Amino acid sequence: MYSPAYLGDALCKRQVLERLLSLQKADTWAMRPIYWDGRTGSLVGSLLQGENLDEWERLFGLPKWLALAIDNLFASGPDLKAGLEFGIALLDAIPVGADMRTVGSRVVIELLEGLPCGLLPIVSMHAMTETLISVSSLHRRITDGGDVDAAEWRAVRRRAVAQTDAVERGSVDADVGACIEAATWDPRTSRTAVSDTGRVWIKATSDAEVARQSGWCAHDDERMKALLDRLHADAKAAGATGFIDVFKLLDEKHPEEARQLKAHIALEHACRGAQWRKITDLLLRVATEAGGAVKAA
Amino acid sequence: MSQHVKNITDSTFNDEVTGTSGPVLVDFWAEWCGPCKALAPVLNDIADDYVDAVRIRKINADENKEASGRYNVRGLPTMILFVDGEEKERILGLVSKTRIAALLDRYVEG
Repeated sequence: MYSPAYLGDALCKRQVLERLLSLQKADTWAMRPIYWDGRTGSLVGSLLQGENLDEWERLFGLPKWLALAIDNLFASGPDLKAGLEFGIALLDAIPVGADMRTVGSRVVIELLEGLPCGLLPIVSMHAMTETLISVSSLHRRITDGGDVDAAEWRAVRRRAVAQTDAVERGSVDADVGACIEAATWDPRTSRTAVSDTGRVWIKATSDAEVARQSGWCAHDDERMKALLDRLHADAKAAGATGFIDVFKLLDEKHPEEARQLKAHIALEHACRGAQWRKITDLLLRVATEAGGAVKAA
Repeated sequence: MSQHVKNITDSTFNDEVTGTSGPVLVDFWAEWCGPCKALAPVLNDIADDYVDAVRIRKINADENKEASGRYNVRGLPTMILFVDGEEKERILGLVSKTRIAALLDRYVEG
């Protein structure tokens, strides 16, 4: 059943924000999406004091996909403070009375082909670009007020999965393919459509940026994993028992590879953080622009 | 947790999985496992979409070592699809809803 954001009631929004601020002081967060154990919880779980997203819709007039998107980004942010600030800012940015029904598809379109977030600059295969545009056009039909048959989603989903399966595992192409695949659902009926797409988008775009900056690729991942596996096997063969710290062994026996791995991990971490900022900025922008808002009295 | 997802244990594994007919997707997870927590809402969504076609079950791998050992679960999360009590497929790690749906569709679309 459709409800406008915050049920069209400014008091509802104020109560949500006030509750969040009091939760911020209580500091009883759990970094896992849609979670409440009676004492600690995710951002959404703590607001609801429960995990039932039907209540999220009923009490706040907000879509389920938004709850998942908030909690996933809350849990995966660079730190608790950043995650919390994002959650509060996003809920504050949504206009009272906004019609949020097509906002999920707008976010997905931006992630696929918008500027500056879209994947088009990092897609290397023509067929994948075509699928990306097909998926995006289905979401555009939703934002234009239309509908998409389940069969159409299924068809494009199959194509996207087949394309991802055809590229090198662990490559940026595979990450991009995974992102296109994740986007093949209608956020109005599939609550994980936006959060899944966003999670894989962060991986795809940050892996592409890592590759651009350092040249690190899937082959380097495999090379490093094989070396660590060998160190582990050698230590075991030499009689080691209990926990074997392969990273310490790498430091001792292969200092150049250890340096490369540390530099790679640091760059990857920095790129993930930068992409997390981009996606949270995107959500804030799209939420602010959500239409159908009731003007404040 | 979705009302269509049920927690199981070593002692109920046969009644819920291996001794039953039809497809059952079992998620092996653990409390310390971050990707397992991120997977939970995806599985809930899948459970609601496939409510009449596939049963979704979760088992804590740390607390139920018999099942984890029997099915050689070496990393978490691991999802194993059983059909008529037999293992047919497994997925390792955190994946999108699309990947889980693609696997289930192979068994529920005939």
